[in-house]
Amino acid sequence: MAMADRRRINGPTGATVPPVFLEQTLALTAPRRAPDELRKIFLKTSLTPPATGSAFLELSAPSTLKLTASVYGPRPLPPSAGFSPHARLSAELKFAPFSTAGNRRGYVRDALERDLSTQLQVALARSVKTATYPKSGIDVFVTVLDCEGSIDDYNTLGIMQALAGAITCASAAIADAGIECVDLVSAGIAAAVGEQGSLVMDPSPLDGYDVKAAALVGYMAGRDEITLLWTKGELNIEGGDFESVVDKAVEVATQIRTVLNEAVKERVLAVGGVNS
Amino acid sequence: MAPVANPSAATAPTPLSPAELSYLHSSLSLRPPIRPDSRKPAQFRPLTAELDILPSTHGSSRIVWPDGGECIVGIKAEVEKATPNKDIRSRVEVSVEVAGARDDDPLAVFLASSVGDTLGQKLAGRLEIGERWHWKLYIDILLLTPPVSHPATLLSLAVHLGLRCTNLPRLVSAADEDPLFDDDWDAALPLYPSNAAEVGDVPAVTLLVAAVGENIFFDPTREEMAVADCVLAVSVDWDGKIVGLRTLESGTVSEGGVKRKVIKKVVEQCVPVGKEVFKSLEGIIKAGF
Repeated sequence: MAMADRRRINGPTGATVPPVFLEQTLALTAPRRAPDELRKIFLKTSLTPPATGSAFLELSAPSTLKLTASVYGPRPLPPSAGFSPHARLSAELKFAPFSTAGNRRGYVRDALERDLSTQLQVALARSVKTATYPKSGIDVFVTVLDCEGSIDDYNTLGIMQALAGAITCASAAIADAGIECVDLVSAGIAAAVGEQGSLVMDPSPLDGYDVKAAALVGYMAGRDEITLLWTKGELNIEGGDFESVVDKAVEVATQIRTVLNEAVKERVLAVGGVNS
Repeated sequence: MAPVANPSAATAPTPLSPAELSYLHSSLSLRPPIRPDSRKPAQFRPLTAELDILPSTHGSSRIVWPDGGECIVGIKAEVEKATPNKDIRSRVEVSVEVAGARDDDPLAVFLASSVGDTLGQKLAGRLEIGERWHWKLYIDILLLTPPVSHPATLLSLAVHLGLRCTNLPRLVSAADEDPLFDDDWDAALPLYPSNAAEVGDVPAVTLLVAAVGENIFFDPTREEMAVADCVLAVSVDWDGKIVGLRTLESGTVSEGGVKRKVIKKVVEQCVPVGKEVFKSLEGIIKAGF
C-alpha cells in the first residue's frame, strides 16, 4: 500500500470483476410452439367510444403485437369528392412512434405504412356491401401500438403479422359499427421454412425460423373466398408448393375466424340485451 | 381528420356508367370471353422497346405502351463498402417517379416496393466485388405519362431490359484489395452475361392478371380492371417459380372475393405466359445488340 497515490481517491484494495450477465432474449426462453399451433388471440370490440365501431387485438405472450382499429361512418363524402354510387372505404394503418423495438418511428406516414394501408383497404373493401351506402365514406383507422420483432423492409414476417392482425381487427370493428357486410374477413399467415420448406402455421418473427417464403391471406370463411393474397419468396407451382402454403394460410384464417365470430357475437348479445 | 378520399392515379374511376360496367362485366364473363379490344385472354398489347438510350447511365431502357404509357429506366452503380450484418437486399435501391403525381402517391410506393420485391436476393448476390466491397445499384424509373392502365407490367419489363443491358467496369485488382477498375469502358462486363437466359438466371418479371368469373385476362386495361373480381400482380421467374404475388385494388361492381381455384388457375397460367414473355424479351435483347 506504500505505493498508493494519495492525491487521488483510490478504489478498494480487493478488486472484483464486474458481473457479466448472459444475454437472454425473449425468443430463446419462450417454449417453441408446434408448427401447427396458433397463438391465443384477445379480441374485444367497442373499446373506443367516439368511433362508430372499434376493436382491440392482442396476441398471447411472447408476442407483443397489440393494435386497435376504429371505424367512422358511413358518413357523407365531402362535396369535393364527387358523386359515387358506392360507399368509398378508405383504410389507414399507422405504427405508433413507440411501437417498434429498435428505432422510433416518425409521425409522418412512410412508404411501408402507405403500402400496408392500401393492402388493408383491398382486403376489406369487397367484404362490405358498398352499394348499400351510396355517396358515403367509411374510414378505417388502425393503430399498431406494439409490434413483434423488428419492422423493416426485409423482415417480412413482422410486417405480415401486423397486417394480418390489422385485417382481423378492422373487420371486427366494421361489424361493430353495424355496417352491412357480405362476410367477415380474417387473415392468416403460413410460411415455408428451412431447407425442406416445411410448413409453419402462424409463424412469428420471434420464433427464429429461416423463412423461405411466406403467404398472407385475407379470407372470408363463410363464403370460402379470398379477398387478399400476398406472398413473398420463391414458390414452385408444379410441385404444388404455392397451393399448399396458401391452403395452410387459409386454414389459419379459418381458425382465427372463430375468435372473430365470438368477439362480434358479444356485441350482438349486448345490444340484444339492451333492446329486450 | 378524415383520410383524403381522392383516388390516386391508379384507381382513378373509369368514365363508364354502372350500366356500361355491368355490360363489360358480362361480356368478360362469357365463355369464350369478349374483350373490348378483341384481344385473346393471354394476349398483351403491342409495345415498343429501346435499349441503352441514356449515355450517362450504366444501363437504360425505354418502353412505350400503345395507350400512351411511357416508361424510362436508368440504372447507375456505385462502389460501396460492405457493412456486416446488413441485409444484402439493401444493395439495390429503387425509386419510381410518376409524372404528375406526388412522390408519396400510393401508386409510386406500390410500384417501387413491388420492383424491389421482384428482384430480391438474386440480383443483390450479383453485386459482390471481393470481400469488403460491393456495387450499390440505383434503379431510377420515370413514368412519363400519367398511366391510362396500371403500369406494373410496363415497369417490370422496362426494368428487366434495363438490367439486361447494364455494364459494370471490369475489376483489375485482386479480390481482397481495395477495388481498382479498368478505365476502358469497352472492356466493361455485363451484369447479366449474354448466356444468362440459357442458364435461367435473369431478373423476374411482374405480370398483371385480372379474373372475371372463371375467366382470366393478362395485361388488363383500366376498364377491365374496374370490373374484375380480383387483380393480381404475379412476379414469375424464368424457371416458372412465383417470386411474389400481391393483390391490387379491383372494381366494386360485385362484392366478395375470389375462390381459391381461381387463384390457382391464375398462377398456373402465369407460368406458360411468363415463358412467352421471357422469350420475347430475349428477342428484344438479341435485336438490341
